[in-house]
Amino acid sequence: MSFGNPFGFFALVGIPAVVFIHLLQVRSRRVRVSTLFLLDPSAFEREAGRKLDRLRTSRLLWLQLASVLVATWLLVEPRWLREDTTLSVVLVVDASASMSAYRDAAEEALASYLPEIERGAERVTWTVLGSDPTAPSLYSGDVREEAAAAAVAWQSHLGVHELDPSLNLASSLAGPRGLVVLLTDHVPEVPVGVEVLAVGVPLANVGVVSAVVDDEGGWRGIVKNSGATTERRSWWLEVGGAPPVHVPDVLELAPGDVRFIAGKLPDSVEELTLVLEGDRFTLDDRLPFVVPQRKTLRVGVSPALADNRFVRGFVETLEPIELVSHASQEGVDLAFGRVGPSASIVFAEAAPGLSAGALAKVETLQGPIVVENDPLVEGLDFRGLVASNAPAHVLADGDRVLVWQGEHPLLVLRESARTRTLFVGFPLEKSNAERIPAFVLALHRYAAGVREQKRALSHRNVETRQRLRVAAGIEERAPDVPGFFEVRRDGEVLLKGAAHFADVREGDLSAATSNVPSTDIVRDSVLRNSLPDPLSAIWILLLMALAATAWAVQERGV
Amino acid sequence: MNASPDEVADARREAMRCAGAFRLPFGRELWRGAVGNWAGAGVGSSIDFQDHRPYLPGDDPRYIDWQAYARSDHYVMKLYREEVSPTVELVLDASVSMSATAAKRRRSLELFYFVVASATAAGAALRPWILTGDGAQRWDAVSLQPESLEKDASWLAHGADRVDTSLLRGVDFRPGSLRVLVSDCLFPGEPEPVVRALASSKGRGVVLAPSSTEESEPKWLGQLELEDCETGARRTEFIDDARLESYRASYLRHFQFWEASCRRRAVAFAQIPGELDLSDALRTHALSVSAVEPAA
Repeated sequence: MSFGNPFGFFALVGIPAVVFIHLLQVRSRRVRVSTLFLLDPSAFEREAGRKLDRLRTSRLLWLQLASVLVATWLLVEPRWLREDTTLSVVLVVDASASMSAYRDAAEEALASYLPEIERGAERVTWTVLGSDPTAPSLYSGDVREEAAAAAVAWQSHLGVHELDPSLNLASSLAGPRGLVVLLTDHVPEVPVGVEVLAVGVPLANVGVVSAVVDDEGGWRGIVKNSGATTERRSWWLEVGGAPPVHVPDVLELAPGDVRFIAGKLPDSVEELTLVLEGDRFTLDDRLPFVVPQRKTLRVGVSPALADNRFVRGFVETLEPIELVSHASQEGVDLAFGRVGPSASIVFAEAAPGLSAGALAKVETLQGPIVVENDPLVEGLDFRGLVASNAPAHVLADGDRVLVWQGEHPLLVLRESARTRTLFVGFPLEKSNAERIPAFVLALHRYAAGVREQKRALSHRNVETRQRLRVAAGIEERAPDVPGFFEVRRDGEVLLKGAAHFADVREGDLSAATSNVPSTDIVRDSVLRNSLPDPLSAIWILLLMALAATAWAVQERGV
Repeated sequence: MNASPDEVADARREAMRCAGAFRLPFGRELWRGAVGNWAGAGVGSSIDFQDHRPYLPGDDPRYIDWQAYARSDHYVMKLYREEVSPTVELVLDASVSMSATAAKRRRSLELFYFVVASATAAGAALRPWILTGDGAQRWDAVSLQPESLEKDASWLAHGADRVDTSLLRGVDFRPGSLRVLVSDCLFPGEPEPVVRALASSKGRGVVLAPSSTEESEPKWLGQLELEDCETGARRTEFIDDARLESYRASYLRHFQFWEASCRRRAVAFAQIPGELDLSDALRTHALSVSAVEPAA
């Protein structure tokens, strides 16, 4: 049985009201009698001056109480569910990391709200999804308790993300007569038909935003108070599972305050954890980090460029590197001036046979500079580049021109299965390229790509769930939870990393709110799947009879 | 609640009319008193033969049975019944409760006048007493005149104090008299002292109790402040059906005590409801218990 109008139960307030009225002293009617001595003094005698009296049962009292009960029964509109009705409910759990602070609240909210939904039909099928559309469904079945347990047990580690894809999926699963409920900690805009069960409350949270290691053997961290109150937190460093490496220090942060903390790295330490005194949101209370270590590039410079000031300075910026004597030597990662075994940067040469005087008179390239859409040159501005003319690069199949000046290609990328070559289409010594930041940045991007593709060990600090390019053909995703990790291939450690939670928006719990969906949709379902009380006409007649009898008794004075 | 002179006059007329059909139970007793029309308890000069006895010196020779002397050669006296005029002691309860309702006040007046008329018609000597909270007082003949009673009708609802059962002790009933108590008997206490006084000195007692259905079947329901009409005492009570039933039982039990007590002392007790016509009320309630008898 269910009730089409649960608000009708407010009519039960009439019961204490009726009792209270009967407790009040009724105004007495004076009667002169000659036989008062025949009426024994008894416990019925009332004390004058008292507003309240002891409750005395009377027919009027019982009639009025019965009237209230019958009226309540009619107002709540009792309905009986048909046996063949089914309601499909899809529960979408917000996978945002902030939900981890409200696990207990979510459990309580589900325990009270899901039974309400269950009244909507004789049989309810439950489907539990995370708001991460790539994650598998968490539960599918018809046991409410198991659905609630699955929703609460799910670990939420995502940052701010779009909810619409998962809600649209849920709506399609629920069907037009189903119900979609979003379990979250705030009240977002949701598609029509989706009910929001929000369990958030504003919480204080202080978290470590980031930590970096500088080149001088020190580290720096950023701590932020995302709450609305001033908070005191102690912090310390941990190496592995060992005790703090120093006496915990105390921070006092005003609301919204950001504090920088720093220190010296302990000797011979590769992995550390910056720890804050814990609070309800634990993901940002521990920030693991490693001492970064980049892959070493083996760089070879052709003899023609060995004395070039720009090349020499550029190579120095690529540290860590290992210079080799021959650009074409096996094992060179990046060759300058000549096509190497792996990756190369080749500069155009001035037309051969020209004397120095003639070379000085070579005219500069003319025409507009056009930058193609390629990650290497995206966003770079080559205006101002003055380059002298040179024999145009002969384009081969598969060559991609990155930058044009007029009809002359300035930067060309050629890729094959093993090699990757960046051709510079003008002589370096007859240009102002070294003063054009775009040119230098393009070369750095190219070198960084070469370093990224190299299969070698590196140490990196990354964000949780960050997509990682470890080496050519090796891509991984950082762990969901903060911590240290390794990436291995064929027994070789390619990456030692530390993943930390970095979405400060999720750490701001000051705007969390709670919301219990209206039961309108459940009531609609009840109305659709149930039958009204067949005896309602009899109850109405009974109510009228009770009211009339109560009136008659009232007229008699009892 | 005093009666108006008109109401008193009406009640007297109704009582006089009724006295033609009923009378006090004079015919059921041998009375003592002055010479009159009713059979006395002693030997007299009536024509009703009573007994024979031997002649004694000093006897009136007119009553010697000469025929008996002829047969027996002894003087035999022939005795005849005495004819007397009985004394009626009328005791009127003038407490306020007798006027508690209009019907009861009218009935009280009618019963009072009925006794007066019946006694007058029978030639009885009427000795009226009025009973108030201050005690029993004799009324003189002047006060009993209709003109006096109707001129100032406050005599019925005389006092605010309650009459109790000990007040009849001050009444000096004549021996062998007919004592008629007109009272609603609504006062606390055992009825025995009153009934004993009515039956004392070989007297015959009659109790005519005006009553009202407003007292026997009151319509009290709900929250009431009950005020005693005689003492002014007040009591606030919630009266429901159960409480009302308890009252009815008390009322019934009260008059059962009176009836039982009167029965033991051969005192006629009759409740005369005010809602009926006086004739009907006397016929249905007083005649059967010999409180009145049909007029000859």
